[in-house]
Amino acid sequence: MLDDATIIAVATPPGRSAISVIRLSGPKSTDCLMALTRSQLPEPRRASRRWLWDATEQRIDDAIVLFFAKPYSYTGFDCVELHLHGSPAIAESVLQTCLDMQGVRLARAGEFTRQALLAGKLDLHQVEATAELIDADTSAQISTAIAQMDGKSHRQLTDWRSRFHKIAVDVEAALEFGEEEGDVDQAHLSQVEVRLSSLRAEIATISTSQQTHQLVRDGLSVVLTGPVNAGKSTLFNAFVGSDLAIVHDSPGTTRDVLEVRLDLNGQLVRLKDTAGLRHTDNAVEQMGIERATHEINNADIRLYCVDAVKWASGETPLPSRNSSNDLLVLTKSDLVSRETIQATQFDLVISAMHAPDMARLRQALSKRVDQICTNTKTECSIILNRRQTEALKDILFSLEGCMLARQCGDLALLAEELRSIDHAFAHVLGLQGAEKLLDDIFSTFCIGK
Amino acid sequence: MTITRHYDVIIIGGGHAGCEAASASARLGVSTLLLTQKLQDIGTLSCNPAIGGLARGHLVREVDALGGIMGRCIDKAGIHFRMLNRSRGPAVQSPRAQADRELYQKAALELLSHQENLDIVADKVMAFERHNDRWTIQTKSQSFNANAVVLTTGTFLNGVIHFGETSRSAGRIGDEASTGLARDLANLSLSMARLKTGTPPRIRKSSIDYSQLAIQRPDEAPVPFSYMTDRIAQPQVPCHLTYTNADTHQLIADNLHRSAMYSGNITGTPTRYCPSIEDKIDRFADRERHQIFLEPEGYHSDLVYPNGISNSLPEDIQVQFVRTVAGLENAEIIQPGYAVEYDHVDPRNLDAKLELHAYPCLFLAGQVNGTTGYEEAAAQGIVAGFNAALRSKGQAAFILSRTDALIGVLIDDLITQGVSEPYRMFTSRAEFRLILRADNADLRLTERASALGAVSDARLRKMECRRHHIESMNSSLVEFKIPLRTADLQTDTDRVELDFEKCGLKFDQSSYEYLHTEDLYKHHTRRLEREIKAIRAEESRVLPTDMDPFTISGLSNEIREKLRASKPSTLAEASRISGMTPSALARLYHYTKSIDEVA
Repeated sequence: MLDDATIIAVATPPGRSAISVIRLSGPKSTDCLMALTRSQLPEPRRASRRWLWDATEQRIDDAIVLFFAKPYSYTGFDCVELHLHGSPAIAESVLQTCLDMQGVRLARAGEFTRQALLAGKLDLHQVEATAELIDADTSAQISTAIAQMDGKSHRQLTDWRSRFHKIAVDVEAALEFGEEEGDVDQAHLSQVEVRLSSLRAEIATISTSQQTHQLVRDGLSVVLTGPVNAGKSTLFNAFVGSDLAIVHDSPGTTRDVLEVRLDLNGQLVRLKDTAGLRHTDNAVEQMGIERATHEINNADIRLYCVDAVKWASGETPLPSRNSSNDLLVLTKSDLVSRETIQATQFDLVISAMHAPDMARLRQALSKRVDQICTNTKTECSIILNRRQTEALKDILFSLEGCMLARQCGDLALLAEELRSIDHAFAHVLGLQGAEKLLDDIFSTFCIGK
Repeated sequence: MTITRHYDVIIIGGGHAGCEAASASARLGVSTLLLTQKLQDIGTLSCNPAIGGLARGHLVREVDALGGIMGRCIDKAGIHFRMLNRSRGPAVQSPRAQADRELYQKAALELLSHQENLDIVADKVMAFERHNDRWTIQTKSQSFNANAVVLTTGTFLNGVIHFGETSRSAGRIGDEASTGLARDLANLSLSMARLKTGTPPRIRKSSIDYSQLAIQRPDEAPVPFSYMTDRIAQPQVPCHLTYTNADTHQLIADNLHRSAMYSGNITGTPTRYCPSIEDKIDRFADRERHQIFLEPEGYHSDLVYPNGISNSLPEDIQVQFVRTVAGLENAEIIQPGYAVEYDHVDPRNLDAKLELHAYPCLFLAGQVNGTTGYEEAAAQGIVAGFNAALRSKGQAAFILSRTDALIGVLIDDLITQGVSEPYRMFTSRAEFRLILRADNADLRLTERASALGAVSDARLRKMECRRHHIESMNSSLVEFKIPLRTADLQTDTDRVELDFEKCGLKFDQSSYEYLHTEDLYKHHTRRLEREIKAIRAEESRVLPTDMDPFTISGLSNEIREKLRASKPSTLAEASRISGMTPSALARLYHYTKSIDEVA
């Protein structure tokens, strides 16, 4: 983008499909379009049907072409979209014809959006929301991304920033005009602590509430655990619907943590199969157990599996729950007669071989997932992305610094913390730290020397 | 035909910028001439009789650390010293002192007349031009030429004075406006703009009734400005405060239309930092009163400078409104206040040496660049003086960056942003306020000035000695495991002093204060030092002087125009031009890299 190159890329995923789309952006995209169609530019922003030709005057495809004249395009440059029939060979031949032209090169990852950002067509926040939308796996993720695009969180951050800015104005005015300048109102300074406290409370609330959205974005971690040979891997495969995990009668088969992303009623779940827990002298198995323990501790939901046969014989004791969200599952129920076992302490008694059992398990898991999402959800409807959430943590940290500085009475230190906070906001909002501080001081206070 | 005398460097103008420039140039060992209209102009405090103040005290300390004269002058002339912002934190503490005008002028003249390599000539410049690779200057009676020239013409360019409904062309009262010089400067075709400043009436001291006014006492132990001054010897006097009231405001409001400022006669932009009383009453109508600080003009002077009521009302109204103020009921106005309009050169014509882009070896410093304040003028004077001398010696430039000094912030702001009103220094303009303090200017700058040969051995030794004391105190604290900071400065000082006594160590108050401050800010200092590193990296990305922004692809014409106007010399300067976009910067960065690759 730093050069004036025109960039080109296939916008649709590789492989055969009904149609594939090629996108061009940059000053040469109009030349490419005219060369490909051997005709004048079509009317901007209107789908037109054109034959495409290669350099040897061979027809490539009968295509729909779209032209967006700058600056009214996604990137702010002249843009062209070519809707081709979905053969990789057609796309390849169009690409080659364009790349043979001077000043045209393949786009790097994200470069169209990068152009749009640099041209001011999108702000950083929208870019991030766009990326999340593209990456969304589930409907919950899509609604989170859309909620970000509406700019509500952007407005909230901007509002906070301006409130901090006003505090900074009062503090800077006090610093620049000293203790003896009667016009700088002392009342403004005495309110600083109250104003900072209320900002801290608000930011802390929203910062905490971001956990839900993080769950939506990253997916809940559901970990299968239990003693060796409890049937965890069998259950895992039954969930996935294929033989992903190796299943064997010999205990300690699973070592690595296996993970699949599942769409559970629109909510992303990361289901993990882990090594069975037991005392072992095998170094490799021990490493597997350590990994399993780490996953268990960090899980949102633990699925404790207990072999029904071993439960009936009293060999396996009842596992204790880490949290009320965990599920206790008695497995291999097909190997015992249901009437003979006491299973009231378990949430479910199932056999992975039995499809209705699996449906019940899915349902139970789904209910737990919903519960977690509702419990962490507060009234707050602001959804922040990861970068913003991290920035809020930094801001909260600086806010503690503000409080300390206020206590020790050093206004210069307080001003410095407020500057850090402003930088954090400017950074997260994608703005340069343009300081209007003095302007604001002079519209607020009457200052004489 | 008179004989033309040659100097390496000639300074035109004997105000604060001129004095510092002359001294700085001469200290570098080049033959220097200071040309001033009148000898009495040297060191004149033309506005209020005070030096320093918030941020400005920092500037004086920096000028002093570089070997300048302002700090030493005020230490000999100060009659009311105060350290400001004592309760706000050490980073923003700044010294201020009221001056005896006569003593200040005497001190300045004495320092300059004893300066080696420096001649002073009082004469009026009639013509000024570039001749081959030298600048020639024609005065009323002589002619000079120089390798490099520093112009410090203050507010004299096309100066117009406004008293109420009348106005006349002039500089300060009693001075002739420098019109010949103005003509030749105009011939240089630099971009100019118009600014406005004002001054209050002067009141006869014996006509003021002090009995009912609030007293402001000076500090009991006055803290000197200069690192070379051990203590302030002259006696200290109190100042007084009074306030305007509803009657004052009514009177001024009723006669606003008769003010030069409000009748539309003035087109120059006024400063918001030092508003006229008309402005205060018009813009902040809800204020019940405004403070007036009665500044004595000296031990023996019968004049008082009432700071806070600069105005351009007709004289009769000035007398009336002044007499509504408590203590001033019988005030006798010796000279009425007035407004001054003047031209200044757009400082974006300058580079970081304060040399004009278009005219090599011609430097500008002080109010002519659109600043306000003695201290801002002195700060520019010293940088221009050094660089004029270095230029004539053919040596590398002396540049202070925003990361080095408030002077660096001042100059960088001027040359990258230009000015839209008279520019005044504020500590909030500095990104690195916690580091660029008034208490460490010597530790930051004296060594650098010494490398130029610009400071005396005594000054360098003094700084090294201080540094040594601080370091040894610090190692004692570490060795004897004495905690540096646990409470406020006073408590900590008492505690540590006692601990030092117990261990049989010598306690050094000033070193301890310094360490206490450093410790208070250390958390931020680490972060700021990382930022400084990043900025220095950008500063090392040099943009070629012959860069034509119109040949760089992908820049908007608006940005190209801005680049052409301010001619940034580094990527860092470019980044601070207003309206600069991240993408334009990215392109410039790319451009500097492409040059590196070719080279």
